[in-house]
Amino acid sequence: MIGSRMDEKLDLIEPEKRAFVSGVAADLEARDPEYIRSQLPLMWLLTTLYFRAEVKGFERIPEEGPLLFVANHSGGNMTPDSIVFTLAFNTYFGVERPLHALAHALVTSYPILGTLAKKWGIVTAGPEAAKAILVRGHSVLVYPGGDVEVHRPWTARHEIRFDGRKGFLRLAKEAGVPIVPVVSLGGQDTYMPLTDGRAIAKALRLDKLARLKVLPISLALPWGLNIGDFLGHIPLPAKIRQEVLEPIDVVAKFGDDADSDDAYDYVTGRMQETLTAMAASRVLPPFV
Amino acid sequence: MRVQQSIVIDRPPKDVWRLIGDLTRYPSFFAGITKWDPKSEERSGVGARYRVLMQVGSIQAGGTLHVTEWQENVGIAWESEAGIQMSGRSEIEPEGAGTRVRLEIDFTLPGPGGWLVERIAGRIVGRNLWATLLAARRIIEHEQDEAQPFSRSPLGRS
Repeated sequence: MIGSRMDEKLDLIEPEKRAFVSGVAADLEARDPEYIRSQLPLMWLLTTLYFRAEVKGFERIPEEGPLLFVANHSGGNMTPDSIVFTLAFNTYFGVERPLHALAHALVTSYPILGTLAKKWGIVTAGPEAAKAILVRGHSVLVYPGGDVEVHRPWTARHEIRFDGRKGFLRLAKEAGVPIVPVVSLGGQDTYMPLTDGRAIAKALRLDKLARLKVLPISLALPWGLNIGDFLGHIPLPAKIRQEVLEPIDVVAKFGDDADSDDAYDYVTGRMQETLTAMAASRVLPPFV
Repeated sequence: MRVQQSIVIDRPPKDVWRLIGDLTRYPSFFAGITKWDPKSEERSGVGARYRVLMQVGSIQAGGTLHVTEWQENVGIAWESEAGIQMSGRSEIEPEGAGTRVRLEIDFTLPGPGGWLVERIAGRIVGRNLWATLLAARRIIEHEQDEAQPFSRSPLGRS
């Protein structure tokens, strides 16, 4: 059913968007399965020994077909959540099953980091890019909360903060693919975010200049006071927990209202329930 | 990295083979296994395919395996065709009045860190194999016949 919906959507892509899709295709081709395979042991060391990651719920992920993974994320520009999920996905399904993550243009345009990111399958964020990936039958990992969520203050570490962004719902509706929520906890304990600096970012017009809605201020290694987190930081070894929830077919559940406020509240509500329960299960945060 | 464990079970090879030669029963006693799904119509013999995952540290790792050797009352060998590059064997041979069971997994991890992770993960896999053999011995020596209550009379006379 999902496959036939995908075929219909492929035919419905507007001509002007086809050119864009073919441009994105070059980025998709940059994904290098053998490179990913060679990096998995290092990532395993990092996630298992340093972050002591616990990953649950992968058996809920459909074995085939394109999926839209919708995740929360934490930890500033050095979020461990992406590393944990990417490792878990590639060891569970094998590097043969393509997964693409969307990232801010700042990530993909760095000289060396950007090239490596593309080898991992990371593509510059944008609804058309995501749609192009799904049309190919590949899966996409998106973080709707973006910079607003990843830099939220430590006091909001147990909050799903998508900032009302419903692009992921429109994407699921148009591409006809199920949403698979992924909830992570612990990333915001890898440093100490004091404020997301939204007011400062607005005053400096960073939104217009660099698509940045925040100018985070944190305490982080090795900088001490860390303004902007542009150069990243050394994350502390907090324990990372991650859980994949049951897929949600928003089209089947909400029909034409698949991108409505109701659908948004439903998906984010399911994720918040899980995040709150995960937070309750911690014995001695951020270590256990 | 080759990981191998063996144990002697106080039963003849044909009794041991009833468990070791039945791949459909592996998920019930193979320690650390989180997924063991058949991927072919054949459940046994050369060509049988299974998707297998084992919990190794923070993640589940494995792939699709296919049986490459099958000899009744002797052993089974398999190789991966996707996922982690690995192969393995389950072998049995008579030893005294009992049977020695040997489990082996051989896996290769590429890239920087591969050598180190092989050694760390190898210890986890080794412990899982040993736990698997202990479970196999318990089942074969104490529980296998309980699953077939009518195979012998309550008084021990057939």
